[in-house]
Amino acid sequence: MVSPATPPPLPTEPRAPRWVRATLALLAALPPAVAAWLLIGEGWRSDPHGAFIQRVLFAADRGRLELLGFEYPPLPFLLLLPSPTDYWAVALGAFGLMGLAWYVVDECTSRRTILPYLLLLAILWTPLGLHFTAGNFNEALGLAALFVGWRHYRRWWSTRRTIHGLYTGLWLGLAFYSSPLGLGLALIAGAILPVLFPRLQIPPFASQMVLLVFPGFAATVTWAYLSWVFTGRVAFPFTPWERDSPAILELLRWTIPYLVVSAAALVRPKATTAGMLLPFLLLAAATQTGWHFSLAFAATLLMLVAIVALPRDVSRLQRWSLVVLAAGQAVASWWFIPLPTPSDADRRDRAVAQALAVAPPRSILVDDRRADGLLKWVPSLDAYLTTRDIGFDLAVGMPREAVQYVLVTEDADGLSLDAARHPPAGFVEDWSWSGYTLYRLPNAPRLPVRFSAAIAPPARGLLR
Amino acid sequence: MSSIRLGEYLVQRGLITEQQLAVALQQQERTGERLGRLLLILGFIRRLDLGRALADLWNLPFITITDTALVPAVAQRFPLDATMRFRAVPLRDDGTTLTVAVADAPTAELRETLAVVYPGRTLDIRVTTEWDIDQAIGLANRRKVVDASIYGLYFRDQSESAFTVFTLPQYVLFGALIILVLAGLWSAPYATLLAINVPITIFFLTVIIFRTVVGISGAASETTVSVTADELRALDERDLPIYSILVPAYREAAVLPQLLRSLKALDYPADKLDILLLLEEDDPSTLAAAKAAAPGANVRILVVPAGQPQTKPKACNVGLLFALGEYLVIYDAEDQPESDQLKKAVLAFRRGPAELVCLQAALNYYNASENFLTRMFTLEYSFWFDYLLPGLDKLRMPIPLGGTSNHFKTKVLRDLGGWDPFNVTEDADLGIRAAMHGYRVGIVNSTTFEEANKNVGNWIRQRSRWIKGYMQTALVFSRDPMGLVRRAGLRQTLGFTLLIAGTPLIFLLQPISVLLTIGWVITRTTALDPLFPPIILYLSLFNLLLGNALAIYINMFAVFRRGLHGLVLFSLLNPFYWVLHSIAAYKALGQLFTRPYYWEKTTHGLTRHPAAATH
Repeated sequence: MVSPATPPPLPTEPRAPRWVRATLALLAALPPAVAAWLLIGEGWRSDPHGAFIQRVLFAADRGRLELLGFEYPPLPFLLLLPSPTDYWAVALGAFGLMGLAWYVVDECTSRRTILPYLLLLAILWTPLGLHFTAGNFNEALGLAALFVGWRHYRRWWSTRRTIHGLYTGLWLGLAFYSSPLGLGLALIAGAILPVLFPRLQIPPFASQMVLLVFPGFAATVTWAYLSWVFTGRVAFPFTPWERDSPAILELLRWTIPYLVVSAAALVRPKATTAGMLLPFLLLAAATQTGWHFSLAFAATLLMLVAIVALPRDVSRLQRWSLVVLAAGQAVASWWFIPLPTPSDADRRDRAVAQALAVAPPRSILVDDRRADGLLKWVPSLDAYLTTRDIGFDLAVGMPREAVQYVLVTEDADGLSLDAARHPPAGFVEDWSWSGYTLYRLPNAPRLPVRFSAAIAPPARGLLR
Repeated sequence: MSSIRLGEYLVQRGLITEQQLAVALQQQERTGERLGRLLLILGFIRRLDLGRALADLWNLPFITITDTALVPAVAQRFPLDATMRFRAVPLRDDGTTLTVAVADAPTAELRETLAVVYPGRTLDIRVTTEWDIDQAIGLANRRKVVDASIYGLYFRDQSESAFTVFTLPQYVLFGALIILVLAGLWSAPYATLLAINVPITIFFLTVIIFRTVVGISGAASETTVSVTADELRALDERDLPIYSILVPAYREAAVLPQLLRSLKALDYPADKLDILLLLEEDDPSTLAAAKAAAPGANVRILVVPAGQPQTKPKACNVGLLFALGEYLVIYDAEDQPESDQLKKAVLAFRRGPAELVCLQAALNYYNASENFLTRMFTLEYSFWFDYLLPGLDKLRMPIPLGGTSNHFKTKVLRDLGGWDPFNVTEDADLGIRAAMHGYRVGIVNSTTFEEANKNVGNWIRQRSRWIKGYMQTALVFSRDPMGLVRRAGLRQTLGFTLLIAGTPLIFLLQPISVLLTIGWVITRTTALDPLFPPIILYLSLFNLLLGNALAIYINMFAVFRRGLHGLVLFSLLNPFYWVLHSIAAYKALGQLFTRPYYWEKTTHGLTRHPAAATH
C-alpha cells in the first residue's frame, strides 16, 4: 500500500490571458447571435425554441415546475426558466458557442497558430452555426458539454490524472441532460479503453467504465424518479426533439476537414486515433439506435474533433490546404443550406396567439397537442386551459361551466366535442380563420384577430 | 568539548571500539547529530557510561537521580518550562548550595536562571542521563504536569476549552428555540413544521454544494504535489531537525511490536528522532510490553500521571511538555506511516509560509478488503483525506485535523495551548483553533495506514466519539459568532460552520429525511404536501437525488485514485453506511449531555489482515 501515484508534473502549456480568450470566444459567437436576433425581429421562432418556451411559460404561469412535463431533454427547460423568451434562448445558444470557442482558443495558443480558430469560424459563421442560436440552443449547450467532456477524456488517459476523469464524467453527465449522446459517448469511451490500453486489467477497466457511465445513469434514474413522483408514470428520457438525423454520407459531405485529418491519422495510427474516431462512432451508432441530432450538431462536433486531433507538426502547405478546404465548405454551406425564414403560417399563428393573449385566465379551452403551431407563439399560457391542467377533463365535459372560449383546429379539435363541425352546446362561433375556430359564450367579450397579418408582405431582412 | 575528544575518550576507556567510533563518525558526517546521542542510538554504549564519560570530560561529578534523594519542593520551585528548556532539575537545596542535575553541558544562561530562582546559592552541578532527567521531572513535578496537561488550555483561555459544554447564552438560546418550536407545534403545527423544514432544506443544499466544491477542488489538487521524490533525494540529512513522535497508547500491548517496526522503518535519521511512548499509569500491561520490546535509545517511555479526564489529548499534552523536537507528530499505536513522511513534512514546513503551523498527512486503511465495514470506511477516508482536506487547504478554509499523522511546529503548538483534553476530537478542535488564531494547516502528500474498524459496535463507539467531538468543537467556537467572524474571517467561519457544525447536524437530520421519503413512497400520502411547497419540494428532490449522486460519484473517484478498483462500486452502498453514522450521531448527542468528556475507546488489533503483521 502506498499513496496514490503522483504523475510527473506536466509541462505548462502557454495559455492566452482570460480576457483574450473571452474576447475571441465572444467574437466567434457574436455573428450567429446577431443573425439570430435579426431573425427574431423578423418574426422567426424555431419549432424547438417554440416548444421549449411554451412549456416553460406553462410551468411559470401555473407556478409548478413539474408542469414542464418529463419530456427529454430537461436542460433547456430549466435554463429558460429565468426568462422564457427568444432572446434568452439565443443568448444561451451563443453562450454554448462561446464555450466551444474558448477551448479552441486554448488549442491555438498551445499550437501557436490560428488555424484551429479559423476552422471553427468556418463552421460557426455559416447557416450551420446559426442553427445553434436561431434553431436549437439546446444543441449548442449539449455540444459544448459533450466536447469539453471528450477533451477531458483525452486528457485523462494521456496524463493519467484522475481529476480529468472526474471532469469527464461530470461534463458527460451534464451533457446527458441536454442530449442522450452524453451517455452514449460515455459508454463508447469506456468500451474503447482496452483499445487504448491493451494491457488493461479487468478491475481497472470495470471501474473506469463505471466512472464514465455513472453520471449518465444517475441522470436517467433521477429523471425517471422525478417523473414517477409527479405523474405516477416513469418517463424514459429518450423522446427526442430532433427526429430526423442526417444520413452518414450527408454528414461526411459537411465535415471534409475532419475526413482529411482522420485519414492522415489513420496512415500512422496511434492510440490517439481511437479517441479521434470515437465521436464519429458515436454519431454512427446514434443514427442506428434512434438517438437523434441535427446536421449542424454533428458537423460541428466532428470539426472540433478534427481541430483537437490536428497533428502538431502540420506543414505550411497542409495548413493552407486545410484552410482552403474549410473555406470551401463554408461557402458551400452558405450556398446549399437554406436559411431559416418565417413562414406565412407562422405569421398567422402569431397573430392569433397575440389576439387571444388578452383573454382572462383559464378562459380558453384548447387541446395543446393539436394547437402546438399556435401555442408556440403565445406570450403567456395564462389564458389557456390545456390537457396538462387538472380541470381539463371537467371542462371538456361541461365547457359552458368551465370556460368562456373553445379554440379548435380545423382537422380535429381533440376535445371530444366534435367542435370542428359545430359549436359546443351554449357557444357561438366567434371567428374561423387560418385553420382555427374560436367559439365563445354569447356573453363573453370578443377577441379580435388582426386578420391583416395574413396578407402583410414578408419583411426583407439581412438573411434573405 | 569536541566530538572527536569524546570519541577518543570513550575508546581510551574501552567503552567503544575504534570501529564503532568510525561508524558513528561516518553517521555523524551524514546527519550532523551529536556523537554521544549517535552512539546511544547505534547501541554502542550504555546511557550510564556515556553520562559518566561526559561528566569526566566536563569536569563535573556524575549522579543517578533514582539513587539520590530528590526533594520535590526544591525541584518544583524551578518553573516547569525552564526545567524542560534546560533539561535541568534542581535536586537539593541546603540554603547555601543548590545541587542541580543536567543532561547537557551547563550554559551560562542556565546558571543565570538558577541564580534568579535560587538567589545566593552556590551551584553544585552534576551530570546525569536524559532518562534520569525525565524521571526526575515526572517525580518532582507530577502535580504540575497533570495540571498543565489537563488545564493548560483552560487557564490560558477558558473560551477555547470544551470544559464548559454549554455556556449560559447557549442554554438560553437552545431553550428558547425548543419552547418556540413546542409552542408553534401546539398552536400552528403545519406552519411550524414548514418553518423548520425550510432552513433544513436550504442547509442540506448548502452542505451539498460546499462538499462538492471542496471535493472537486481537492481532486484538482493532484496536479500540484507538495513534495516530490526529487526534492526528497536532494535533502541533506545534516539539515534535518530533531523530530518528536508522540505515540499515546492505552491498552495497546498487542500492537506495540508492530508500532515499533513501523517507526523503525521511517526514513529519517534515527539519532534525530525523539520518540515518546505515552502510556497510562493504570495500564501496566502496555508498559510491560514496551519495556520488553527494548526500544532503541531514541524511544522514551513516559508514564502519564493518572487524572481525569483520562483522554488521549491529556497524554499528548504530557508528551508535548517533554518533546525535544523542532517538529512533532502524533501517531496512533496501530499506525503504519509511509517511510518518507517526516522528511516530506520537514520540506513542506520549510517551503510553506511562516503561518503554516501544522501539516496533516493522509490516512487510509491497510485492511480495506476485510469486510463491508472496512470497505466503506476506506471509501470514506479516501474521500476525506485525499479530496476533502486538500480541497479545504486549496480554498484556504480551516482543516479539522484527523486524529493521527498531524505534524506540528512544536513551539507554535505550545503557544496555542496544546490539545484540549476535554474535547474528544481534540485534533479537529486544534485544527480549527489554529485557523482561528491566524495560523494555517496544510496537507502533505504522504499516507499513514491504519487498521479500519471491522466491528460494527466498535465502529459506532469510535464514530460517536468523533461526532460528539465535532459537536463540542462547534459549541466552543460558536460561543461568540461575531467574534469568530472578526478573528477568522467570513470564509473560515463558513467552512467551520458547514464542516464542523454541519457534519453532526446532517447525520442527525438524515434519518428524518429518509423516513419521510420512504413513508411517502409507500403511502403516497398528501399529508406532507403543506410541508413541501413547490420550491422546497424541488430543493428537497435536488438534495435527495443529485446530492447523493454527487457524493457517491466523487467518492468513487477517491478510491479509484488510490487504485482500489474493487471499492468503486461499493460507493453505491454509501447511503446504507450513512445510516450507521446517524446511529452514532444520536448516541453522541445523548453523551454530549450525559458524559461529555467520556472517551469511547476504540479497540485495535481486531484485524486478521496480513498487512497488520507484515508492515
